[in-house]
Amino acid sequence: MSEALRLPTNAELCDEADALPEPLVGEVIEGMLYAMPRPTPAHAHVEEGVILDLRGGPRGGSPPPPGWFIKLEVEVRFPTDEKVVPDVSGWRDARIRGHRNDNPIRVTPDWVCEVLSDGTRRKDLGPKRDLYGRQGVGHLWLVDPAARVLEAFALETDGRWKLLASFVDDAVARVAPFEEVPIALERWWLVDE
Amino acid sequence: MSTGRRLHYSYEEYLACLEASVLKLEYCDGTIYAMAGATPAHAELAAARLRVLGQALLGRCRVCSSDLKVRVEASDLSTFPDATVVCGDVCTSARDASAVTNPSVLVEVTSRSTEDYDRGDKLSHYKQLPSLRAVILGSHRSRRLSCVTRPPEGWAERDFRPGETVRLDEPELAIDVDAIYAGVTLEGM
Repeated sequence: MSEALRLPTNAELCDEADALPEPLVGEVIEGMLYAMPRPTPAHAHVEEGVILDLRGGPRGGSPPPPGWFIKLEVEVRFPTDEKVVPDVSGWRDARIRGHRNDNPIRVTPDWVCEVLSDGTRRKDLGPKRDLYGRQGVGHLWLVDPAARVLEAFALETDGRWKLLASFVDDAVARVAPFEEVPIALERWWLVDE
Repeated sequence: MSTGRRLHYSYEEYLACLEASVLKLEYCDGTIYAMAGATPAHAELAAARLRVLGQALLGRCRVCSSDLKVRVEASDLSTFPDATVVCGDVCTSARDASAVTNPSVLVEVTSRSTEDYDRGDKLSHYKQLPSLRAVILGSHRSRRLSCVTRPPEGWAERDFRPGETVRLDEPELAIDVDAIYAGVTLEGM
């Protein structure tokens, strides 16, 4: 096969992703480069809510879960040279020790939270979710701001995502891997009054 | 709903989760699983199957997309196959009026994350459907259809490759492998 016909490697696609102009963010999953725009206000509001609830913040409430390193929109690169920027990702302290300042982080997250939006839904629910499964992310939360739903999944040994619980509207969520943190979901939804 | 970890869901709870979910969910004996998302290749293959089956069975059987839920009462599985063929009157579950219980042919397009399950446990569930005559599994990695049929002597499986034709007696059906994979870019290719 000639050089002109060769498909780019994941590593080469990552270089292209890194070269995307602001404010685009690139992800590389199974040989495809996805360019994402800045998140919508509703999307960003959920991200802020998740961070406040799991890292602690000025609005008080329950203390953050101990033993976790939680990050917003940090680049994660897998051994396959696939790279993603999860909306919120978390690592148990023991696994991330020594790598907190890495960029990208090459330690597979223990938990990821993805906030869905029209432009990213198909990717997040398809290739990205599959990637998390293949790479062994233990827990996945999917949040749909439009439907006001949080669904929490755990990765089974056969690679399937098992539903742990789903919460809607103003429910208070307590679900793995943060069972000890009650989360008032109504604070996540952007209300335009 | 504001509970935490659930170990067992009732079927009614599954239906409520399905209503609210951002995903297609599969139910099996109290556990709910997220069904795999579709890659572009998967979506192309699923569409090709619907088109080919629809043309071949026009006027004789109903061909339905992955929007149709199928229920295996014997093993308490409810799921959404990539394509479902129902010949004759449609029968639905007494527990779930939107779930069909008498498919004649089921079609699944495998994916990297589901292949082992599709060819293993899921196939075992499907084989417990009394009405089922065949399951057609389309590979996501190569141009290959695996046809699992129920002749009088018991289930049998055979692979079909480019240039070959899958032929079923019940319903009477012929599917060219080439027609399914024409123009489809497979994963890893």
